[in-house]
Amino acid sequence: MPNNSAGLIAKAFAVYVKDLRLELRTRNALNAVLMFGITTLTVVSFSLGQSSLSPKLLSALFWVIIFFSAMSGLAQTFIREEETGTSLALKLTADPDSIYIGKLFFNITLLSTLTIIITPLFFIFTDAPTDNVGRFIVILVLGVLGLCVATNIVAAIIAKASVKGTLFAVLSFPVLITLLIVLVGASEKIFDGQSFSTIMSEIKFLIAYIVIMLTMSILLFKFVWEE
Amino acid sequence: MSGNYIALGVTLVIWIGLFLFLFGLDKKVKKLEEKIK
Amino acid sequence: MWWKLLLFIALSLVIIFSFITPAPQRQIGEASRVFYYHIPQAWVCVIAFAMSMIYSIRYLKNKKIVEDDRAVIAAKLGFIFCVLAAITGSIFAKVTWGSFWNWDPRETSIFILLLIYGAYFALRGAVEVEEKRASLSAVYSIFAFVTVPFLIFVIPRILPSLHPADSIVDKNLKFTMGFSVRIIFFSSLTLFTVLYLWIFNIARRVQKITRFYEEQED
Repeated sequence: MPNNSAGLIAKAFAVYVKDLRLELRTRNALNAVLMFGITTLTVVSFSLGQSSLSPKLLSALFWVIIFFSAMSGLAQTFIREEETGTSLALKLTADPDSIYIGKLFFNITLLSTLTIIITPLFFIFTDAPTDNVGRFIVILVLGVLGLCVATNIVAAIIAKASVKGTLFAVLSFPVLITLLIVLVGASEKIFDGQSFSTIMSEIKFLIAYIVIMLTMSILLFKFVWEE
Repeated sequence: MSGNYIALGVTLVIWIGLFLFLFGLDKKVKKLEEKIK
Repeated sequence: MWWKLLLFIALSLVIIFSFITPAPQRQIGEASRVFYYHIPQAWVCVIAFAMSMIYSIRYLKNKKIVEDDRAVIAAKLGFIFCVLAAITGSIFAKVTWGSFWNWDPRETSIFILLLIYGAYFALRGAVEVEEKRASLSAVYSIFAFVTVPFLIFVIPRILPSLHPADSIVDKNLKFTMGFSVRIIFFSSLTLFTVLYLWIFNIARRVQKITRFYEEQED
């Protein structure tokens, strides 16, 4: 099977579309993720009442919601393959790299959908400052990419385990800690109204994180996927 | 200052215990290794 | 063979001298003696984890299960020394600064290491097939480890609250260590490493014997 880059992208896209179609039919992952996000947001909003939060708390709260929502849904794409027994067929039809990238894009779509819905609601419910929304969106995009890139291989790993339970969160958290610290720090600065230059180093970090974790996970995926 | 001597004593006891344990284990493992050869 | 006796005598001497000589850092006082133990433990922990990583990589390359066995042994030992380092570190923190844990850079990195290896053992417990267990945990430990250098970036941003003292103290220890302090410290460092390698060796041989008998049963 000649593996030129055009073939890679085409195959990855095919995997992506397959997962997307399946998800649109069953909506399992989407429901889990949205349910979690909206529930947490509602609880937060109720307890807040009329009081407002400091930039620190707002920022931490936001990313906690996103993190746990991610935990509830991002492993589905791999787990489903194992549970329905389709992973063998998938193995035969496409090479590991394409599968990995296809599923990565699926997760990015999933998490982006969540953030598109949750973020405006978050701003509304918590009355967070909206003057620097543009910068927040930049951090948001990088954050979503970072979360997906780092958790995709973890999802692949736990899909192969016999006892899944909370394993996804247990394995993801150590990997994500530094990412979360940076995201929360950058968001705090944004909510605090600080200038763009203060988050330049965070943005560099995020880009480096995304690139390096993506490279590492593509290199390592073969060992997870093969029998 | 006597606190130091207590700490010294405790640490020494722990170390001696650990060493004897490891030394004994090492010997046993050697015996088992001989059996395998 | 008799290096073991030498190890025993030498480390016993180090322990004795660590307590009867004047405290290494005058400003902190007696509690500073913990550095004779805390730093060697952290050092051994890093060596053990590095060895575990190397064995993991080797397993992925040559698929010999013995590499995975060694990776696990190193990981377990590293974990133990990491816990010891965290304990001695927080005792020291309590005595010197009043609270056990403060999320300063060093404490945070130890915490993350503990989490990574906790997750590593959890993963291993969840996979029954030996080869799968070996490759999955190898991939995870390598991947998780890559995130650790990123901490270096995050460090300046985390609370500098209590632990500017920490870095000052370390600088003090590094630059103004008296002669006798230096001897005790570096001896401790070396001897702890030798001790770790000895324990690793014993565990490795035990595992080899276990495998031998397991194969007999097949």
